[in-house]
Amino acid sequence: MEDGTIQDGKQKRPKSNNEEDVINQLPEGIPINILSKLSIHEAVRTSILSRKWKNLWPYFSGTLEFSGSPIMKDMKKDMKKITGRSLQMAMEIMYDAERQTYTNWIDELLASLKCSSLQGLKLWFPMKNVSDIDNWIQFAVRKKVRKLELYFGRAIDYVLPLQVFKVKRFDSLCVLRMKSVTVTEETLEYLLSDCPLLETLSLIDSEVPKTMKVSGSGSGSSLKLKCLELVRCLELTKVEIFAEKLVSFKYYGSNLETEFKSVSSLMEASFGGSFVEFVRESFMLQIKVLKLDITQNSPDVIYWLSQLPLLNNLKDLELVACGDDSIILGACVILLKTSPSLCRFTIKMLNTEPTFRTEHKFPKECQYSIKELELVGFCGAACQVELVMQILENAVELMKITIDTRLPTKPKVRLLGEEQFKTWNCEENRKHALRLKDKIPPSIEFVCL
Amino acid sequence: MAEEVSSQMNSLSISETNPSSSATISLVSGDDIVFKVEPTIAKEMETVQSFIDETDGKITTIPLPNISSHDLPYVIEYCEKSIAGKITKEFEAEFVKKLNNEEVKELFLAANYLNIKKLLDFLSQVIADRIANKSVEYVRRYFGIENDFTPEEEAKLREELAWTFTGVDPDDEDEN
Repeated sequence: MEDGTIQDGKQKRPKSNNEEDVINQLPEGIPINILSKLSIHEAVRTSILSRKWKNLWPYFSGTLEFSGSPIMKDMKKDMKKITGRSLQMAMEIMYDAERQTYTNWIDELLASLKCSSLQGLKLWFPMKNVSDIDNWIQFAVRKKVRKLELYFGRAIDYVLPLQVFKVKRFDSLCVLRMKSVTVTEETLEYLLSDCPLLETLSLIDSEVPKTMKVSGSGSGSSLKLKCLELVRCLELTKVEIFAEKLVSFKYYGSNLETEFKSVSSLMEASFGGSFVEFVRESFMLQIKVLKLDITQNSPDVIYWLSQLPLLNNLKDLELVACGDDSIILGACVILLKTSPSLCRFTIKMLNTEPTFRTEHKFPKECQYSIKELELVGFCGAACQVELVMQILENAVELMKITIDTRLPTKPKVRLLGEEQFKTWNCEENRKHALRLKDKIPPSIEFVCL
Repeated sequence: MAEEVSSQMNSLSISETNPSSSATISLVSGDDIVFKVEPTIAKEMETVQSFIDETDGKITTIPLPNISSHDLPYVIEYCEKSIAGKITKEFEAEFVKKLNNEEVKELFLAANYLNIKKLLDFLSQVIADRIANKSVEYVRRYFGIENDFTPEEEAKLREELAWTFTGVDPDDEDEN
């Protein structure tokens, strides 16, 4: 492709020492490109560089993240520890004062920004005052924010304000993630039909309409939505989804009535909570990436999983499980059997008793296609060792085993309480993992984390 | 080496008169090294493409005096990946691993000059990552910025902006 001789790789080009750097001499838009990739704290800090830089940061166009001041975070921790009503009240008053200082600071900062558009705005800390939040949302609309993330704690019942969007259309919005924020039926309809760029909608612990209709105005093809996440939205009883561009769908919650009309692009699915009826969805046949969290499922999950059709397209499977080891092993057997094209299989195990030994045996009737196996939450339990050994026996094409001795980050519901997690000993687990390594043929790559 | 290059330059200038003979575009670096690229690559470089468009495609040799032969292959590599739709996080991580601070800045200037938005955006992020959590002095040295504040002014500013100083790392010994 290239002619002539290329200069030696790391050769330095001559540059006199007192020559000012060219980046610094470029038009102002260029440093602004760079400072917009920094956090707002660091962007503001560049004002100390020189007189020229002092005036640049207000043109910041990156992502603003506000997750509470360090003092607020410390106070929250202290408030959990203290007992006694009067002390608690005193703490709360102090907390309110600190929050007031913090929100005033946010308001001042937002007021000094001169850029016409912003990449993102994240507001993720407990709030009390609805009108402050409304003002920030107005700011987001005005500044053409592309990514908006909202969480104001559980003490406030915040409803995403449709009236704000009626004044000025929120047509810049691409990603909306919210936790504990109420979305009414009208607002949902607005978001789906009047935000033409909306690609990701994620609602966690949020109050939503009983029946959610996820479709654009008119036909489903007008909807750009690619990713939909509904996690622990307790009011939800039914979803109707008509979204041709939808690639990824996540639902964690209780049983749900579903109607998927046109989801030909859907490739990634993630299910958790006690919802099991997904096994009957016809789109399961086209899924390539599947995550299942069965930590909150009762033993009948085995029955449901056995109802799955052959998942011929499934390449990547993640199973998050805890509790009865025989359920975990049973689920693994069924899932491996129903996934003839599976390449990667990740198991995240929680609170496994190291001593527990299962009687469950793997049937040897079929070969598994997996090439990579990852086990997260390894503690050397007999059943874990057995699981690896038995998969090994049936997976003739296996190339890599990753044993992760760290605890999986999930779930938030800690079934065995905190005690178990305090005694979690990665060093000890790693020793167990190395013992396991001795049993694995050297032709298979073994990684221990 | 110089002779070899200049003879190539001559042969290329001859081919200019007959654009139909060659579909490739020749990019000539500041130190006179010629890089032949597909026209699709040139399209990624807005500055180059507008030059081609202005001359109705008659000129296919484009001098890029501001870009060295050391940097140009990196730019071309990135553009090739970009066209192939193969810009992944892994590729970017590998790409940037090869580059020291000086090279990143030079590539940034090259991307700016050639007006390659994706590369410029990516390198902005790389530079931002490299100055994140660094001291004011480190960032001044990084960009070669002369501190034009009086000590009193700077002290006052530092006091006002004390809240921005959480999480600043101590300077590394090795700056490049």
